[in-house]
Amino acid sequence: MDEVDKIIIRSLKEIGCDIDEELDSLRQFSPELVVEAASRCVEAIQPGSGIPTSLPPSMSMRFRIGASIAQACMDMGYTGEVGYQTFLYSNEADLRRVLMFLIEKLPKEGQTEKIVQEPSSRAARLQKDISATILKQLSAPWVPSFCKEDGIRWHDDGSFTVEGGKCFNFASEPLQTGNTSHGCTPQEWREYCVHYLPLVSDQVSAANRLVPSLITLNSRGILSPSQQLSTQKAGELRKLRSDLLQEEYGKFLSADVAQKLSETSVKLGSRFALNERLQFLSEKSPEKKKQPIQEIVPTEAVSETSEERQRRQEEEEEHAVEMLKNENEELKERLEQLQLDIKTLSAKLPQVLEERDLAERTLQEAEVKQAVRKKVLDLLPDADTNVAKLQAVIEASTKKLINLATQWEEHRAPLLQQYRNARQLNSSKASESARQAEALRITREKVAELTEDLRNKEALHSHLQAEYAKVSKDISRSAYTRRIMEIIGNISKQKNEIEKILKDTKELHKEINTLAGRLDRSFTVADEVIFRDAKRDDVSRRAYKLLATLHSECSELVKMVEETGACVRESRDLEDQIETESAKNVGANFERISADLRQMKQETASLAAQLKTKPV
Amino acid sequence: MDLKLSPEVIARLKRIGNATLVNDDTFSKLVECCGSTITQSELSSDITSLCTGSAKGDLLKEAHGALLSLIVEAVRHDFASEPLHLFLEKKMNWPKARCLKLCGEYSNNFPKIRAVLSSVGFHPPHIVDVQWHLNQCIKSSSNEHSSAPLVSIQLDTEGLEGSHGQSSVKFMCTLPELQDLTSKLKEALRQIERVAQLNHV
Repeated sequence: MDEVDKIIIRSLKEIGCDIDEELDSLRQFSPELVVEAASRCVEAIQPGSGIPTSLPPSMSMRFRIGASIAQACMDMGYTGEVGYQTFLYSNEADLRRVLMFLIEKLPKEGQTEKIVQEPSSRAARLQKDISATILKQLSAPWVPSFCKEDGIRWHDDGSFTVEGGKCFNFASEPLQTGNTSHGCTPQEWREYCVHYLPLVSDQVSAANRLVPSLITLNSRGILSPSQQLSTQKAGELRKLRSDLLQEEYGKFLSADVAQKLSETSVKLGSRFALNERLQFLSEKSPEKKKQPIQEIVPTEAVSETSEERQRRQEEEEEHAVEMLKNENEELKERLEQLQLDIKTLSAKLPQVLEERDLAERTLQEAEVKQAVRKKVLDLLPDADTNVAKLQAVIEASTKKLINLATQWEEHRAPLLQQYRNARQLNSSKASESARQAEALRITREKVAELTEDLRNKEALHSHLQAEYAKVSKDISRSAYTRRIMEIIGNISKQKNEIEKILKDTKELHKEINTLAGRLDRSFTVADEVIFRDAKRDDVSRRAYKLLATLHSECSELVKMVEETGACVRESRDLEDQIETESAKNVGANFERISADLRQMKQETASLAAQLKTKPV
Repeated sequence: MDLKLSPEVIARLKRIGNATLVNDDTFSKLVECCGSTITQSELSSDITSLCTGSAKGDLLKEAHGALLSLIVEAVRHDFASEPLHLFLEKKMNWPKARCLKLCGEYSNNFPKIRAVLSSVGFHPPHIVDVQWHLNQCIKSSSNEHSSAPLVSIQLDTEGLEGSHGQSSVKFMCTLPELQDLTSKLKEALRQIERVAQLNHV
């Protein structure tokens, strides 16, 4: 049984039980360890069963845990006898059977992954929530609408579902909080806030508008930085527009006749003011109701007094600008003219340079010609001698030429030879180097091939090593299989022996039967013979009587022997039974049970006492 | 996910955490008042008198507004009370007792405030009740002798467009029409049951 225990312990360690290395048999398991092992097995087989892995101190809780584990085992289809006592007052054989059953049921690694996976995406969760809510609504009974406030049904777990009632549009109203001072002094604003500003909840016209208004207020607050930027831009825009308007107005005035000026100025001024006012009206925010009116009044006055001055100034400026413009035009024209000149001259420049080069060359040629002619003219007076001299010079130079040619030949021949030799040497060397390069290339290829081979081998090695590491865990497995094979061999051997013994027994039975038959037959023969004689002979009669008694005695003896055999067998059975009962260590278990019973009684008593002390 | 509050509200919430500006008694009254204001129940403590009598009226009004904003936003984003506690303690620097007080009130009122929020917006009208009776038509203007059963049905609805409170839809139908109606309703029910069973098989 040691192997079985080892296998069980190893499997239990694999599912996360904290078992000491020293333990190697189920006999040494404490009840706590037994419960932990069993509950872990149940948890691994049926995730979410929720059986605690440790035993609580309370006795009744212990029984409940034991009973729930037993129930789980029964549910999984365990056919043997199982109850809380199996785990709390463990008996080695029963425990072994139950644990073996549980370990057989343990899911394989591939299956566990499947079980663990659950949909976790948002859509799946939403769907789950929806179906849960609908299920809740379906399971709830119908309730008349007057029993629900605003059509909302409250469930026991604090959640609610909308089943009717009216919904309100998202209608928000601007809320006044303490941050906006509408153009008044901080002191006044504070005074207003303290005494007159109503609460936020009192500012809305209907109670159901409070929530939308609050949401709007907050969202507006979050967005406010960008809004501020836009107001700044709007200010710039406004300024730009008013500038433009003033300019237009100035132009209009300058174009107008001077005498009309006095009568129209009032009208125009008012129109301008109107424009301005309209413009401000269009832009002002509802918050700034007071400001614009204050602003408009001074603008009106200023615009009327500055009209004339402005007009004069403009005229002067325009005149000056005109003059300057004219000057500018002239200057520009001159500049253009000059630039054009520069361009034409620079285009001519390369042509002129070329012409000069040509002229210089012709000059040089002419000079050379003139020098030759001058020499000839010098030599002309003494022509004959000069011709002779010249011929002599020519001859000397031809001689010298021939001489030089022979000398050249002399030097050239050995040099040529040397050159040829060198070229031959060079070519031979080149072929040599080519051969060596070829050899080098081949070697390199070989090296590359070998390194590739090496890498493959290394990869294979590491792969095999990893596989080996994976496999090495299951050494015990191979050992177990070997052991199982041995056991199977032993069993077959034993079976053979048993068969042999059975055959012997059968032969013996047969022999006994034949002997008994022969005895019977011989007894009947003897009986008949003696009976026939007994009628006539006294001795024979006595002999017959003796024979009868002998026969009966013998049969009794045989019966006795058989009975003895049966008794011996029975006693052996009883001994076996005694052994098994003593293995269950009933005594120790009984002591433990009685101790537990006592503890439970104590707990019950204390609970009863608590109940009593509590006022009803 | 984080609570998104405007800088103005955040500044005010920070001010509420300051014990010298808002004392504990006022604070608890404020919190209770906020809860009941949103759920539109009876005011448990009247804050209006507190505001008008005090020189810090503006502060209290601000605080009230800020707390309302905070609660509405938190409920809108389905904040549980622990993250809210963390938010108040870490970011608003509130003392722990105040955080606990507010979170307690918040979690008490949470479902109610959610219910109030759920009523803002749009949902289709609900049929909340049905009344029916069976009539026997004996005679009509066009037919001297007729004997057809007629069912008159009244569906009580809530939230119907352009009506206040309950309104009803009334109609008469013949038996085949009634059968058609019931079969349609049963089909709808089956559909809903299928959705409900989808994740519980």
